[in-house]
Amino acid sequence: MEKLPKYYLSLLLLATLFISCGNDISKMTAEERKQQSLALYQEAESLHIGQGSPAIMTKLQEAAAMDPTNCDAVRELSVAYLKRGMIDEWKPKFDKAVACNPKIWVPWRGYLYLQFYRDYEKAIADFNASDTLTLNFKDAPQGQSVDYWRGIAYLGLIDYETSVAYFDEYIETITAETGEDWAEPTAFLYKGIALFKDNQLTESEKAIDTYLKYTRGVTADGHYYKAALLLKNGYCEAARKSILLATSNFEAENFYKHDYTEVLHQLYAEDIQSLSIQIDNCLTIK
Amino acid sequence: MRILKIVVYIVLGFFIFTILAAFGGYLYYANKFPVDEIYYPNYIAYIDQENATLNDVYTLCDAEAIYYVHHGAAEEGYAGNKKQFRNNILASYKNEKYKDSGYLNFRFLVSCEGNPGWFKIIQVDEAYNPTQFSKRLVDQLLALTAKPEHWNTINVRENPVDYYMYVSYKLKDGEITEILP
Repeated sequence: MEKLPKYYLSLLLLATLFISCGNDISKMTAEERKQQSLALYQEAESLHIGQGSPAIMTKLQEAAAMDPTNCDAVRELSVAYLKRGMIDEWKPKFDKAVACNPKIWVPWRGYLYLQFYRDYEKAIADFNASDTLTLNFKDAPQGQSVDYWRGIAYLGLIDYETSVAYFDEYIETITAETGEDWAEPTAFLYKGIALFKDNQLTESEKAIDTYLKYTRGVTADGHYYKAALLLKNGYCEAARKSILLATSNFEAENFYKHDYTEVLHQLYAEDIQSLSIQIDNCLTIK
Repeated sequence: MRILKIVVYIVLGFFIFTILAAFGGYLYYANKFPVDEIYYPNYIAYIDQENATLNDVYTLCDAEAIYYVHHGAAEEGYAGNKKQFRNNILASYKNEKYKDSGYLNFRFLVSCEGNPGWFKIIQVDEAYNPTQFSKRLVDQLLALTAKPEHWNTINVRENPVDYYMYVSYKLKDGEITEILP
């Protein structure tokens, strides 16, 4: 019992020695540096909540410095700037990732141009460049084919014909490979919007109906456009039912949105109210 | 007496163990996540309140605890919603023959009372290179963005908090073509 304080001191010494043990980078082989860089990157990624914090940024910087070909670490150094509106810092940092591995990060940059900056021309240029960078492979930044993203980009440019052509290309490809039900449902929504704006109402309704099918009707956007189409065709009663479904789904927050940005043609309560008034007028006249 | 001695040792042991664990934890974290104080003295998007524009109009509840830093309060921050914000800005903004194109970003804080201030301004051209837009254009959009009626108060666990926000105006020949994010 009397010796316990000595043991405490020994424990303290052991803990200090254990923690102060580090790797001597100068003695590492290239492969060891790659492994260590990957480990540093994974440590940084394990703390998503600390994204952009000095500790995480330092860790990523260390990973990128240890192995400049660790393009994931190079790219991750740009992400906090992107999400926080620091466009001047984001661009040169992301371009380093593009230079590091263009096959991966050129289509990704296209997606970011589109989603965060609504820079449709630059987005399309990067998506097109990805076609030649990976000849036998259709890139899918953020999990969707570049054809899907081109469809949205051309919709943003108000080039409805090209937009629909890319959505068709995307849907046909995925249908042939795995089946239509594997397609991203918003491809049908956006195709329907493009056709609606292009005044191709019959085709638009087919696309919106497909969107309603794959969302099982749990969508304010789908019911909103269905109501708009029905109204345009003079079906005021049916339009009324659809706009009520749009309203209830909107109130339940079942509408298409993105965590960090406003999506293209995002639906708002005012849009539903405005269409609802038009439908009421239609019913009154009839 | 012997029992008292045992109790003292147990309490002392627990006390020393707690201190060791805390110290060890601190050393472990500091060793695992060291900070480069030169490159990263603060988190990304930190706004130095001393040097920010419009930093003396309102006061923050807790200048050290800024919320929504991760990506700004893109949805919650707008009074009403973003559509209303966009409609109000577009209705008020006048293009006084400006020729500027690119992105004008305002990063700022909104106080716990919903008052905006502490602005940092970024100006880039269409190639995303730093540029300088017409001062009158920047001043006009700063004044419009800094109107308190555009911004919400946000509560966290039922307490109003100060939060980080950013708005980006995409410009083409002085016209606002998009309001982001």
